[in-house]
Amino acid sequence: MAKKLEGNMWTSRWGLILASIGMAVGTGNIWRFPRVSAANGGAAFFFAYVVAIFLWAIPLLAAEGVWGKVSRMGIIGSFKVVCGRGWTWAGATMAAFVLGIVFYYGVVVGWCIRYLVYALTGVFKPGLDTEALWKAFASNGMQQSLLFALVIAICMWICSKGVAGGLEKACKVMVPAIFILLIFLAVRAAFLPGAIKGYEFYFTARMSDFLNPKTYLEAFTQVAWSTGAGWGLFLTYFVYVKKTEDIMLAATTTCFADSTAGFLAGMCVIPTIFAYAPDPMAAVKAGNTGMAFIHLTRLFAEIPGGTIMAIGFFLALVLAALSSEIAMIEMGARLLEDAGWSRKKATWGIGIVTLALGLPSAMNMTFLDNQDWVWGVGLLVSGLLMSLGAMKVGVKKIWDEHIEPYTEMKHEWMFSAIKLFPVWFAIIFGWWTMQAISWYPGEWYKWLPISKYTFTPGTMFWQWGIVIAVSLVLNNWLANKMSHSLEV
Amino acid sequence: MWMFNMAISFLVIVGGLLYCLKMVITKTEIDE
Repeated sequence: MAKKLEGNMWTSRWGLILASIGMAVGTGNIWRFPRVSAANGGAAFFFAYVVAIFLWAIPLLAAEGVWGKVSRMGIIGSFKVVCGRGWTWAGATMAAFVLGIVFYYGVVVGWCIRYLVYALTGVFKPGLDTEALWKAFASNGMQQSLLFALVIAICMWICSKGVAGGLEKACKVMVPAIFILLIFLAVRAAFLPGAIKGYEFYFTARMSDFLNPKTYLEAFTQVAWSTGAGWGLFLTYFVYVKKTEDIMLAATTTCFADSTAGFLAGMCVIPTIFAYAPDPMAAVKAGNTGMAFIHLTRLFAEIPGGTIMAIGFFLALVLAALSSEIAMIEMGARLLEDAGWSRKKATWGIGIVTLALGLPSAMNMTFLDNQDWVWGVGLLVSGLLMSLGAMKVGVKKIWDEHIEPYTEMKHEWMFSAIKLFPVWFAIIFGWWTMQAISWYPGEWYKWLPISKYTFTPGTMFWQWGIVIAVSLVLNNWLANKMSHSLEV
Repeated sequence: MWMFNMAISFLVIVGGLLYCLKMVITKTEIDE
């Protein structure tokens, strides 16, 4: 018997908005946005970032909202319903790409929990060798596996409670807490002696940065990875909305909340680094984990009252990461429910699969790096499939029938911009591929062993190729299986 | 100059969010 939408939906618009913000705000906002924005022109980057929100994220999220609301099914089933049976493989490919991220992202959430515990137990003391601490933890596969299992258990527990009883309740606490913590950290950082040097560096606008194509390439990439556009998570959340829900408003609010989280994180991280780090640029260029777990941790150990800052920072990181992981587990569970599984079985099913396929990433950091590279860049392809699906159905038709009648934001161009998506995709994807080719001259097409060819274009193309080939072969089988939409 | 840029960045990003949240409140009130 088909499940009813009633009783399986958000209890309020705020529930949907907060869950969508929780989905988008993740570790990328807190440890990547400050680093990448500072290294790419600061003020110029913010300008490029806002442009990217309108050209990349909002149109994709809006299309996702339509897919979820119209089909009342997850990624795979929604492609079948909206684009036709022959497009089921596109949904399956998108789902597989995002599941590729679910499998290792839980490990990353585990790192954040471990560092929160370090902060709470007073491990960060002056003179601490933070690099040795990180290396010891990173090489301890058993500890990472246990933390990973804990993270997945928490996500399964929340998702098993349902949309209103689990996801909405959790996000109503977690998302405001993330913003309160980030505001507290930004205000605390402002009072550090020397913080002003950080602001000066961060907000000085240089014309050369505005004219530098790299500023825009980095900003578009950050938007693609940070807002969750084209991942199918927003799509999954829109399965549970009222027919009259305003898609444009939810998409725009999610994007600006995501940007604000990154901006606040930057207002905390950059002044702190410039106030205390002997070589601020080394910290900015140290990579995500290097900056958060080595450089910032060292500073927290030295700053007066730094323990409180460390607790606030890592708690914000844990909540942000967890609210995104929950969205990804829900995405997987929705797929199984579409195939006729009960919610309880579906959350158990996706949880067990995630545990099994995430363990290699928990045990081996190089494998995790490889997966991060392959499926991270794969999200660009996922966005492309979404935009091609929208063009197949008809951008004008989607706007007129499913978006415009229910929205207060009657700016058609905000959705029509999806037609330009393939152009942005070609530029951004081409840039990343060319960079990766330059990292492995003469060997860029190789992919095994993964430990040697961790970031080659070859490793991306082979793994994507396998997923796309399997999705194409299983197209009809999946189309038949995905037949349990929520009944309105 | 950097203070002006900071103010503009704050206005666009945080102001954009506050504007959206205001619209959410208004729409929710109308729906109710």
